[in-house]
Amino acid sequence: MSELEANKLVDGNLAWRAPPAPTLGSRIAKAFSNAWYELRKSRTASIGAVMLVLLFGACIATPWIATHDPVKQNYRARLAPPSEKHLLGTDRLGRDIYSRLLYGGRRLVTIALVAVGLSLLIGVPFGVLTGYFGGLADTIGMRIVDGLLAFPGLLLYLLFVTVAQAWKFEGFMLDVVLVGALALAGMPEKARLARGSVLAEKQKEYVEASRAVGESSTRIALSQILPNIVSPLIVTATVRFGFVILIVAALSFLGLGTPPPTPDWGSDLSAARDYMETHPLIAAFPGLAICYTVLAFNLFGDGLRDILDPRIAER
Amino acid sequence: MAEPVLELDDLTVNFRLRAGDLTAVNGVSFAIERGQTFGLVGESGSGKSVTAKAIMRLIPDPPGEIPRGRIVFEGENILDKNDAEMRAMRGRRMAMVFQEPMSALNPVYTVHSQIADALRTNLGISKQEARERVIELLTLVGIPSPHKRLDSYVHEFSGGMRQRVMLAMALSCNPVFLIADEPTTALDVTIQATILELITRMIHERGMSLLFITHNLGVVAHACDKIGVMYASHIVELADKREIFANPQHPYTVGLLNSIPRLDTQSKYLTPITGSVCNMLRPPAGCKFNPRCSHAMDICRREVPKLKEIAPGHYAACHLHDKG
Repeated sequence: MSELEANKLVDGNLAWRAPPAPTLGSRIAKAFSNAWYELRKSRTASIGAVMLVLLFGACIATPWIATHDPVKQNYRARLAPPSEKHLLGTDRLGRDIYSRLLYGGRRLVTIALVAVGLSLLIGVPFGVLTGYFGGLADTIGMRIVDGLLAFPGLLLYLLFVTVAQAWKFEGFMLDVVLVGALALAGMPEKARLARGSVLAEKQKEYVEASRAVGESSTRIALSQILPNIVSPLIVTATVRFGFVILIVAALSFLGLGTPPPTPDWGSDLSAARDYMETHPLIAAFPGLAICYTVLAFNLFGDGLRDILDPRIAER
Repeated sequence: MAEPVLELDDLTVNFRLRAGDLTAVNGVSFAIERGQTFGLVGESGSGKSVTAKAIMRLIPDPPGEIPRGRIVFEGENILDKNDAEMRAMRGRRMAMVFQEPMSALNPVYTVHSQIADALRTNLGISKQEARERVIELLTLVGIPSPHKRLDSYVHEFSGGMRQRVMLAMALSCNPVFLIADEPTTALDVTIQATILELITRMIHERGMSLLFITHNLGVVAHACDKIGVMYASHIVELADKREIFANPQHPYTVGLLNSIPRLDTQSKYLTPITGSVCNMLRPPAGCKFNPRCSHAMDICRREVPKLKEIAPGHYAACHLHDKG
């Protein structure tokens, strides 16, 4: 007699079959409705969320809503004011500012997403495992992190980008190097945070209970503890997005980002400096775009922190 | 006499702490037979839980170490096993129910996924099979309409229900031996009896052995066949349940029994044991109970009494029973 049958005999009336597990679709729908319900608790987060939805929407829809080729020059319409034909006017080479902003934003947001995603992907497992196993692994791991932290971020990016440019990296490869530098610089923060949370979390009894049912240490660290420490990580990652966008824009402002004519908020802003006195709007638009994006991420991040960690929220 | 499922032989557990070395379990020996329920009783800090964790090999090292003794489980010394062998054993052959059902279940997973996880790690069965098995288990431990509660999270359950879930998880892979570490302490008195009854029923139905850890003698009286009384890292008395209650031989056991309120006598006050548990970093010399013992003699302050058989099957560690 199998164990299953034994259980049936014990209770007698187990004739029905187990209901199917909830489908992936219904789980996602539930997750979204829960998320929206939680978001509405914080006005900051809701505003940030709406701003972000608009931003991402614009990034995705760029090819359809852009009116002009962002790099096509038109010397007959240089420095044109906003009009029906050019919604936000044109720059010194007659390129449509509206279209440039869209394409530049698309690139910038992608870089930031990949960079932050990558830093989480490296930093979090690093911090979780060192924190969980402790001892020598922890000591060595944290010294590596300390070493990375000791480097001023901007210096690290400048170093990477300068070297890449010296090696004649261009276009996509240059972006890859930039993303790599950003991920590397963002990694220690995530590793530290993850480690700290794990140290607190691994004292809890459910960790011991998981060991008592025979789970392996790596599995406990990554599949039992990790989900319990995501909230502070989400918050830092979100706030970090704004910071990364600012850094990328600053680098291209300094001429270390993508070379022209690729649309880029930072380099566009830098190029517009010469026309500040006569045509301030040309500088205003990329500046506002940067502001908007950073603000959106920061508002959302702050709001999330209030929602996810009620202890910090002071009302 | 049936062959023992678990046999502890001179088990000793030390903790090397910054404040000094601490012996949490000192030369503990007892055996649990197949189908038997063994109650380990003692105050907080007497080493009951450490004993349980040593059996599961869940003592973190460092700071813990097991310098002496053997833990023989189904004929094999557990202390010789490596991590992988131990992992294969936990859950499948021996399982544990924890004191705090609130914190012993992972808050981010549904009840189903936690139990199914244990099942699939240990038995390697399919998702659908695991799902049906989880429902059976939840039914078995008396969760009403389990097919609805299956995908709820732990915080959606009450304390008693959580303890039922813990029990379902512990029983999921059909272990032969269960450790229940104060499973009813965190619960309401009314729920305590239900859970206790449930645990004993499960044990008997499945022919399992149980190590029941508690500080509550009433609970022990209800659930256990054999009782070991622990005080300050030592087993001070070991006997059948009836013997312990009818004929306690160690002053500490007597004290414990006297401090239980009784329905059949008309006394207004309880008789507590005077003093408090000794500091385990600097335990007193000799019998660790001597500062609180009304019968303490000179020898009690010098020599640690050995556990001696004073009647058939009845052991006590007290100099009062020294011959001559």
